[in-house]
Amino acid sequence: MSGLFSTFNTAVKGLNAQQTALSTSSNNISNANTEGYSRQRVELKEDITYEIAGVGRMGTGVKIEDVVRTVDGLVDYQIRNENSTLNQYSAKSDVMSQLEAVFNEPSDSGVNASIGEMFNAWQQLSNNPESSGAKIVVVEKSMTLADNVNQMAAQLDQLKDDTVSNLEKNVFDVNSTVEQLKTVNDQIFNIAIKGESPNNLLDQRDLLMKQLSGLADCTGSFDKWGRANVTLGGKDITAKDAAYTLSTVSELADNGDGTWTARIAAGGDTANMKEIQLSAADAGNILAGSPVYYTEGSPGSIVPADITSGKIGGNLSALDEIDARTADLNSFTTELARMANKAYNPEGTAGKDFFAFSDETNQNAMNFMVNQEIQEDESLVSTGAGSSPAAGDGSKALAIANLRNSTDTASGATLEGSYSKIVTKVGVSTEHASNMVNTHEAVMEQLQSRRDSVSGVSIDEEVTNIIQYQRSFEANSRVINVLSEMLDTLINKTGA
Amino acid sequence: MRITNSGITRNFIKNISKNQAQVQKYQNQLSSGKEISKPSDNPMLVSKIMNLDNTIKENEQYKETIGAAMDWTNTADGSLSNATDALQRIRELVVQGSNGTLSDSDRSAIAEEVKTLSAQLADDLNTKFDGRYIFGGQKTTDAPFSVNNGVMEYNGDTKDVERQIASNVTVAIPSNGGDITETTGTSSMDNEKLGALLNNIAKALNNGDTKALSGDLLGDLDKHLDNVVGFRSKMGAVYNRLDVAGQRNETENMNMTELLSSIQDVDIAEKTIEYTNMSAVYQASLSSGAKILQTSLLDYIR
Repeated sequence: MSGLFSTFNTAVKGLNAQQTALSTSSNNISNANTEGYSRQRVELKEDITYEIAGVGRMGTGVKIEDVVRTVDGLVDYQIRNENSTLNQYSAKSDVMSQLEAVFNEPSDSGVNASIGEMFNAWQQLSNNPESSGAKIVVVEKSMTLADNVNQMAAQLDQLKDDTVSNLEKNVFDVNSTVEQLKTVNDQIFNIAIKGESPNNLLDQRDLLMKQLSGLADCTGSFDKWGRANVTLGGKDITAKDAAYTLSTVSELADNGDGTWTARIAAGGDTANMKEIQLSAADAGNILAGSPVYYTEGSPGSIVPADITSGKIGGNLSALDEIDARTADLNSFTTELARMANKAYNPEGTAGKDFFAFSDETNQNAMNFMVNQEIQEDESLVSTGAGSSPAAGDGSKALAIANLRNSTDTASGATLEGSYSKIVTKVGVSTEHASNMVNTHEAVMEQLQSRRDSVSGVSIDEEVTNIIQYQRSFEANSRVINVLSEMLDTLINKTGA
Repeated sequence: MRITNSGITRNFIKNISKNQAQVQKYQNQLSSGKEISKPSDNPMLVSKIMNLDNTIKENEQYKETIGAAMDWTNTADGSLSNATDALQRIRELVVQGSNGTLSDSDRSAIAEEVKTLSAQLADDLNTKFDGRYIFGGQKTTDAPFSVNNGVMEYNGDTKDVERQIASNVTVAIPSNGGDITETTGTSSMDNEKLGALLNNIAKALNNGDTKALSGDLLGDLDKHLDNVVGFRSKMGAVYNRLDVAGQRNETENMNMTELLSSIQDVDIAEKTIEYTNMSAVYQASLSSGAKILQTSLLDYIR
């Protein structure tokens, strides 16, 4: 037979359980907009029962089993993977849209228009070989083209530098996220070992891992305490006291004697630069911007980190794109100069070319220019064939004007065609990156909805729960009230 | 599926920004009037646009060249017409001078006129167009014809001036003055040159050599007249060729401009409707979002 006093206990347990549940609901509501928060739920269980002979097993009320967070580990895993891919393409798309802006086509003032105008000027000169005005126009239009190309090359160079700095920053972010993750791991262990559930820390852990997955492709696993082990670029990055740090190659310079000097931003920190000598073979594995694992020492050593996804992967692939288009622009420029000079100076007399490079041993789009002598004196422009052509001979100017339709280039396309091919390549890559962003955003959206559906807080739901808990609290109080009255009857009103 | 507040908010923001981006895209196309503003809008079309831009530019240059060349040939035709008139007048004088009844003084007066006409002929052939001598071959900056001791001489070179009127099409404008004043099949080597012939005619007039005047000299003069007329018709043929090329150029230009426009220009009516549609969608998403986001169960209990 259960006593009235023990029923008091049952009611008090009910009060406590409802209060705890209410407090959990309240916590859910206040964290409804917290990033990475997983909704928590109080798990209630019936408390131990005891046997009353001849009656059966009697309950002793409710017991708070645990406060659990509702998560779907699979969705979190999928989100991390998707986040890597999404960030890869969105980082690439960012850089590519800048690259596209450098080329600035179709436009009336871009390189394409400059080429057309230059050839028109030569054509005009071929009609008026006697005219110094036509010569001035040729030189001006050619200089405009050279300026446009120079400027484009400088912008490409700047964009490359910016992307390398982005990579340094990304690597720095990876390291600081990993530091936080290591701290959270320790805290999780300290709590979990006591048999408690570190809900908020697990949320933090998941959020940090998501951030990490946005920076680089990484694989994570959890031990029995809930600590995360993350492998990134082929190395365990959460390992305690690791000798290596993820770092960025800031610069790579050829020493000219078969060795290379790499300047490493250790940990992605540009204030912490290290210099390392490399063999040509080792240098071939990395580029400026490459992420590497740097091990301190004298001399220190590096191992390339294999990262293809996340922001780092996206920036690396954009860097490849910039390098390839810079090379395209360089070969377009040298090809233009070669063809024009062949027509202008068929004998190849030194210093009498029309186009020149301020550094002849390293001809590129950056140092492409109109021969300095011609810039200073337009009358030097020769229009006719041979050594002493007649004043009305515009055949040389016409030959240059006709280069616009010549396919006698290394690529077999016309000059204008090979330039528009570069622009098309930029356009296709940019379009691809931005399409991929759209696709993966949709997938990410889907996964986020799934996560929201499982772990998100619904205010309506919480409010309903609160009402339920409130009613339950009231009912338990009522039980206490009734018990009190019963005791009053028993103690004060009987046996008088 | 549980629907949560943060999910609704995220979805709302995502959709709003998507719609906004679309509205902005249409707005941009409408205000620039161009369907395509950057390579990634449509990489293949952009390369086509760039190609068309330059072909049109090239064609416009040809148009200018053709126009200038036509003016050139017109000027040339005018001066050749003057030259023909002068030669006709000389022929009349030769026929007149070969009349045996004329006195010596009459003939020497005629000889004087022939000399004057011959100098005038040189002047006619020294015509300039746009500051350049048109009958000096490619030596366009020096006067091609001069008169030394009453004999007109050619000092230009033998190359015609060439003009490119279309891609890989060049036309040679007859400008070798030597072709005008030299012919073959005359009675003597000397008379192959118009200057020498005119000088011989003046001499024959002064000497009263009526036989030569009515015979060889008149025949040679006719040959030269034929030659000049032939040269003039060559000039006319070039003019016609330029004219045809000019018309073709214009047609091509129009076709290409039309093609370019159809590729890159916005169809205003179509785009305006798309824009209106999109902005209606945008506004609908704004207003529905504003209503849904405000409400919760709390609005209905107590």
